Amino acid sequence: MVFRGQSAALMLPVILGLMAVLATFFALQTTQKVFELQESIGLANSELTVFVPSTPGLTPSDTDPAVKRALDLLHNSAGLGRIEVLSREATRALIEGTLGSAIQPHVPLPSILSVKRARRGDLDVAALGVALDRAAPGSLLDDNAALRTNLQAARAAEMAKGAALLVTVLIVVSITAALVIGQSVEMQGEVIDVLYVAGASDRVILSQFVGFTLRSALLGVAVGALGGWTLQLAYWPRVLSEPNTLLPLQAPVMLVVILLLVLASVGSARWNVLRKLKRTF
Amino acid sequence: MDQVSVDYPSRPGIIRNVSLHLPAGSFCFVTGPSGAGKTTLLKLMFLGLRPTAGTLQVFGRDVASLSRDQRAYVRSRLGVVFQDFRLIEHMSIYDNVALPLRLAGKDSQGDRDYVRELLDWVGLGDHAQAKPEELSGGQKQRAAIARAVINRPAVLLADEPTGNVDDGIGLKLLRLFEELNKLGTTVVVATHSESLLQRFEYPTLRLKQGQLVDRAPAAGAVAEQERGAL
Ligand SMILES: Nc1ncnc2c1ncn2[C@@H]1O[C@H](COP(=O)(O)OP(=O)(O)OP(=O)(O)O)[C@@H](O)[C@H]1O
Ligand SMILES: [Mg+2]
Repeated sequence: MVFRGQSAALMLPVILGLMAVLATFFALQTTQKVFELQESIGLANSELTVFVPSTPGLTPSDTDPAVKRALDLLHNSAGLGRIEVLSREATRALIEGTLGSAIQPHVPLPSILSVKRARRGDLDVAALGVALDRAAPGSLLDDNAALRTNLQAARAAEMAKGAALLVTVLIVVSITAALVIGQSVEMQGEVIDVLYVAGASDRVILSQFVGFTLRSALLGVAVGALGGWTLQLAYWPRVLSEPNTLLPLQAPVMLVVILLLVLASVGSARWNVLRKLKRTF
Repeated sequence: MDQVSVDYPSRPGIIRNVSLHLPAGSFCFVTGPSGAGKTTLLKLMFLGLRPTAGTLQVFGRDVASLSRDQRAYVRSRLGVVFQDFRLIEHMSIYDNVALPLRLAGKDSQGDRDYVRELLDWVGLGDHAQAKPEELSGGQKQRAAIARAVINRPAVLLADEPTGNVDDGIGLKLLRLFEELNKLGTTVVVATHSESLLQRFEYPTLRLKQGQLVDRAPAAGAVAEQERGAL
């Protein structure tokens, strides 16, 4: 290393490290949220809810024939898994939860059937809905379409937010690296003159600065990424209990963040050094 | 050099309409009062500065038409002794002197022996591992000269190479330059020292406020109207 002893430039790994903490933390936060939304979407995908209006004039102990017909139909349909009839209490809780107010005790409650979709197998939701309505008139089949749309929109929003934060950090990193290394080029003007006069090409001088930036970035970003991961762990300790599922998810995200940070700092430093060298004769 | 001028934004007219030609293998002095532009003239010669006006040719080629890599190649054939030495502070004297060789990709045992030999020759054999700050002004000057000549340059540009050494060593250094000159190196020495100018019968370029004012008697080799190598 021909250039040395520049306090500003020695701060570079520290600054890049701090930026790497932020970038990794944000990226892993996004990963967590997207993963959790994905889980909810999967759940919404795997469940159907069937509402069967109660047949008037039945006592609570009677089995509702409409429910029985609906169950028969469902049991005989392909592409469905476990079927569960919600208890009265669960039904009341679910409806109150949705409507947000207490239901009058004398209002007849519909029966709610929770149906798992089979992992595999095509299911024609619309046809099933029609068949159900025929078997138990007035019944409703909900395949969580609205919920899924909301969840998918939330997932897209999370990804966009994560990308925006990452881009912001990358811009800050690029500017910082370019400024710090540019400053160091200015301070090394005399040594650069000596190198030029000794026959060094731009490439040789550039490689000195780029090499320094690369080492600083690798060191700072690696340590910073580890810090960001640890910080995120506090928000998502689940990683430790399910490392086999979640670590393979986090590792590529971290690798990409590290790579982008290193590329951004080295690229911008290189650009600025070259720009400054071109000003010399 | 043909009608070359140099202006700084803050200070115009540092060099004014200077035309000169240094034939390959010649030896000349540049002299003049402090601030006359001697260092600036040398800077032009080692392509450290772009002329504001006029044309500058080195080794027969107009430098304005050279690519940056070609300019780097031209510089690699020059040796420069800076007035303020410009030794790299954190590198040993040995590494400073060996720098041009290393940049040229020469680092064989023979090259290393040659560095040692040259350090011995300039009397710095015992200081090879010292840092520049541990050396006296005169020792630094000798290290700077060793660095300038290590890669056997075609042209040696020396700015006040005897400014910090006593007359005895000054003479010895000038004799070294003469030796190199006899081997074909073109030598340009900027100096204040009238005693040097008198002792050596070489053409002298006199600068005053950026203009060539006078040519010493032996200046036949340096004709103002000539347009040639440098
Ligand atoms: N980078 C610069 N910007 C503005 N002016 C400069 C610059 N470098 C040199 N000068 C001016 O150019 C003039 C010539 O400087 P130069 O160093 O060539 O003189 P010199 O003949 O070598 O003097 P000395 O004998 O003291 O070394 C001086 O007046 C100096 O102030
Ligand atoms: Mg000077």
